[in-house]
Amino acid sequence: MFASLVRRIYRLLTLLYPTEFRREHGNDMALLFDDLVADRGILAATSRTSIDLIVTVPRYRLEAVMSESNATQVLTAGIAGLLILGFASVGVGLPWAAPVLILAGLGLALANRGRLARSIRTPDPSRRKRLLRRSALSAVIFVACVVGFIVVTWDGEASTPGLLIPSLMGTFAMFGAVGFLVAALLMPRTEVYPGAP
Amino acid sequence: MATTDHRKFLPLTAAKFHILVALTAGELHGYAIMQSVESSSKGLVKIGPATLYGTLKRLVDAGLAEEVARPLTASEDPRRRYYRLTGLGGRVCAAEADRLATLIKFAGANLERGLV
Repeated sequence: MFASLVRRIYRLLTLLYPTEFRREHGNDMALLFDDLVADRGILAATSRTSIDLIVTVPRYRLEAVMSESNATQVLTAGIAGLLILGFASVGVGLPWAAPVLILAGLGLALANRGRLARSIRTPDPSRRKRLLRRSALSAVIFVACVVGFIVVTWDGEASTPGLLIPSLMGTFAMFGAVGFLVAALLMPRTEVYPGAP
Repeated sequence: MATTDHRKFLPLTAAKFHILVALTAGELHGYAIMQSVESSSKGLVKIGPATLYGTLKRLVDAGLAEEVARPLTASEDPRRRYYRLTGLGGRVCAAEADRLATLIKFAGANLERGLV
């Protein structure tokens, strides 16, 4: 009874691992844990696997985050962040920071051009749809920000924070809309019917 | 035929080497590998399930080990997955054993001369 509960708990704990690893080896690990419990008892099995869990969950999670596709997303966000901050720095009275941040963003993009191109060149219809959806959402946010900006400045007595928020969000959304659209358009289409004329 | 230079895999981590050594005995499933590692290290190395399968995944991805489909006997659990060494895995394992043997020889000579 208790052994069965411990086994269930271990199966639940394997959910902490990254999806891909869990799909591939979740059942294997659960089976191995069952073997350990049957052979050496609950105490020995849990003491060994608890240390294993503590060490491997963060490690495998980190490895999953740093995988090629995720690392590209982090990189893209970093480049976008630098460019947006560069443009925004003019608006907040720090014009000297603009060229530094923009050049840093462009430099980062240039240094990683191979990785960025690889992620765009890989045909993936579901990802293209996702990019187009994000582009559309960003465009809607951009329009909302423009409308918000006009409303705030309509009477000519707008406060700085009141202007800053729609400006920053609008800039961010504009870059998002254009960037996601360009990425989606650059991604090659896969043939629906391979070999069809 | 192109051959992969096995030296690029060296030095191996302790977990990888222990698992490769276990697989020199033939086709084994996860729990058998775990038991073999424990017995070959006289109980000093105890690997957990995630470390075992994470390391096995790396070995398979690197082409040093492979999963093997085998006909099951009546006593075998169909859920078990068996692994075996590849040719490259065998060469890497032998090279790592050689490397460690040289290191042990070096350490032994120094200790004998009283350098430590």
